[in-house]
Amino acid sequence: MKSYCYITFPTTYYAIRAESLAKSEKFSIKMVPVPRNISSSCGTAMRCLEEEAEKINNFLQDNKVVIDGLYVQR
Amino acid sequence: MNLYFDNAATSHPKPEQVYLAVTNYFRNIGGNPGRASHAGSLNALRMIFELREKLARLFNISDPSRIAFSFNATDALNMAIKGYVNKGEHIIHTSMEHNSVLRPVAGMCKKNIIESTVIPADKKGLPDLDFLADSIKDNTKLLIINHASNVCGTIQPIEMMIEIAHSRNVKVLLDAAQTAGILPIDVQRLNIDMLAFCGHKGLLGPPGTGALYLSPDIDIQPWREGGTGSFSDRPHQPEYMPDRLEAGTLNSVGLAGLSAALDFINNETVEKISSHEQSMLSSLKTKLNDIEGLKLIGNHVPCVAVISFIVTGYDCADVSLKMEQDYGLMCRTGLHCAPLAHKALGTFPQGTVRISPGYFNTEKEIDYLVNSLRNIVLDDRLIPLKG
Ligand SMILES: Cc1ncc(COP(=O)(O)O)c(C=O)c1O
Repeated sequence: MKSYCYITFPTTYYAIRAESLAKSEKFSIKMVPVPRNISSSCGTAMRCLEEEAEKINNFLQDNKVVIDGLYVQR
Repeated sequence: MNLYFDNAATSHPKPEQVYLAVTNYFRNIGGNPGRASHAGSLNALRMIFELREKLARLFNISDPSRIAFSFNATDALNMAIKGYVNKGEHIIHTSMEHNSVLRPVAGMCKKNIIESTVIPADKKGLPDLDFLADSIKDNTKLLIINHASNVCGTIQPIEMMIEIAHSRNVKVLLDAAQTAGILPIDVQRLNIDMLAFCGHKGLLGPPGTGALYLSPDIDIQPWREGGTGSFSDRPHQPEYMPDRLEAGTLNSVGLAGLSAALDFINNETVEKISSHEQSMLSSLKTKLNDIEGLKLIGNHVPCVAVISFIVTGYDCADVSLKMEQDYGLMCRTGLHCAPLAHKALGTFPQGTVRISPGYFNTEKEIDYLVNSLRNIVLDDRLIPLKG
């Protein structure tokens, strides 16, 4: 089974900004509701494959996206 | 024939793509932006995200999250005034302000929360800059400037005014209701601290849209509080922009139309829009000046395409009624929600007839307007004012 990583954001503004940036870099991501066992201030998270998470996280931070947290779900 | 010359109140018609975008959004997308993670909500959020980016490009705003949507310019101005100025502080504004500034300020003064000073203007609608400099006090927090008058079009010397304010640590709120989409506005070059505008005039979008931009070093208390879809477990409004100022469901249908309108403006360019308006303005001024008995008000200095006039000895309500009944010309008459501007211009309390052409008016329509006015003033029998 694949393991996913969830990136959470403080507001939906940053969630959609993250989506728009990640898509322009052709990262494979999907915007999903935040799983119940993760606490997040904004209800939409970015889901990606675990092996890409670090790279995406760094890329988003370099582009001034405010990130709340990074969670792996195996 | 019906011709619309009341674009200073709200622009009409809108570009075709605005009507299409509104219908498409309303029928096919429709979710509540930022409230859920299903396709309807996410697509709504994506549309609004793109709109914020388009506005940021138009005004050279470096961080689009500093733009909060409002429901019109009045709403944005109230957010700024009531959220930024605290008890015991002082506001300065010009005489050319709209009631959307005058009334919130007067209301706060009446409750003894703040005090205010009005900068006098001359007959051209230009402010007394020495008076401005002299009226800044230790507790002065904010200078409010109406970028261009909705009565006579006068463009304020904002660069000089901002410099005076900033040299004394006073922040500036610019009311761009009459200039957004019509004059180039670069918030970074001009050092604008807060910019309030509506989407339904020069930006050519639907009513029910507007926004307030805050520069990075400004924080204001939220005037409207409620749901944001973020930090829902916390009792208070989030610190993050735009959520801080965007409580409640946005007018996403209107914003979809505004987004399409910005594409139109971007394609045409603000420069081209401005130059078409300026050419209609100068031909209007020249031709109206030739009509004996018709007196232009203000209109000697750099202006946007808003013209006020009176017909000596006659009631402007009567003039505008004839314009519509006999010639199908729609324009506005009275005080235009700016009583102090009329006092400065010498047209209080009777007001003026206001003509405000828009981007879709043509030179031919301007000629028809001028000829109709000539007939009304010279040939037709207006009923003289008594006394
Ligand atoms: C200079 C000025 N400020 C504010 C407003 C208020 O705009 P709105 O009707 O969008 O609240 C208007 C127009 O009515 C205006 O001309």
